[in-house]
Amino acid sequence: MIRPAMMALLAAALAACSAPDPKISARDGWARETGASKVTAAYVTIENRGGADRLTGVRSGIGRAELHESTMEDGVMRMRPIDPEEGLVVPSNGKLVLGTGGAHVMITGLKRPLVAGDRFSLTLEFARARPERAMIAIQPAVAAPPQ
Amino acid sequence: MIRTVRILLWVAVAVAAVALAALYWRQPAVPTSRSTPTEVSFGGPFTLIDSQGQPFASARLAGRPYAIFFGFTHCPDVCPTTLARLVRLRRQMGSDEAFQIVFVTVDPERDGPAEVGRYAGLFGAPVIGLTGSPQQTARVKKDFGIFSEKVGSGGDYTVDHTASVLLFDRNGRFESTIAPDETDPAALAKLRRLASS
Repeated sequence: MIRPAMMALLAAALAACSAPDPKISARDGWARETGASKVTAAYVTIENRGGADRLTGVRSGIGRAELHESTMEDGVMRMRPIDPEEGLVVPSNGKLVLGTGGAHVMITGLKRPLVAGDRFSLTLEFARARPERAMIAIQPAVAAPPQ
Repeated sequence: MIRTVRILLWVAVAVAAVALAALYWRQPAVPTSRSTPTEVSFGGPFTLIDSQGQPFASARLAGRPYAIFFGFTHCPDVCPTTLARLVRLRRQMGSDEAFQIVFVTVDPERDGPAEVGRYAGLFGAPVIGLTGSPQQTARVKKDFGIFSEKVGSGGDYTVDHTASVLLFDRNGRFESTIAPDETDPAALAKLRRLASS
């Protein structure tokens, strides 16, 4: 009686271990031109054609990058860093959108002003998948978020 | 003796009549003065500092409607998103004359005239960038119903703040607000109404 239950548990554990690998790609990366400001936000869509993963960190040669989240509470906009231990879920066969007014990449201490038409690279770090490089295209400040 | 009492009584009657008449004539004013405090209203005259470091009185905005937004220049996400949207919607209305866009910093510690000027100038269209002394800023925030709070310490602090845009008509009367989660068509409808009011 106990044996079949044990076998089922073992099978479940094995299934969890062999969850399909995530297949990550990044697209639609963009940021606004900054003028003199040393702070900016970068936005990117992370697609996953494999098993679930978590985005745990971001890096860029252009400044100090962190995952942040804007949230609205009673009409007040608050911005907080995302705990790297938790990160952000990249669902299996789904996508994680880092966009305006929500989770985004916050970059401080910019080494040079961002100029429209230019681009820079951002490295995305995951709990399971290998780091993925995203290209961030710099748009005029007035640009609308991509639909 | 009786005569003096009678005269005094007549005087009293006359005084009472005048007092009653005065009360009667004052009455029509009462309902209107009573109705104003029940309406939600924001705004009021203010003086801040423009991007040239000169005093900027709210009277300069009179004659054309305006959309006013409170933020800070180190705000990377919500502030530029909001200002960019206002500029784009105004373009859709066909003229930069449709309404004025005013940006007021809630972080005068870091945002002086030069900072608000550069920030307002980023959007390739007229945006009025304003700063002020901590006292001026506090007063305007109070009058416009704006909450803001510094979070964190050191040079890299951020500021939580009211994220809605407030709309005022050409006479400086509060009309409505645009929240960040409102769709572009909804926001555009409010701005068109504002421009034609």
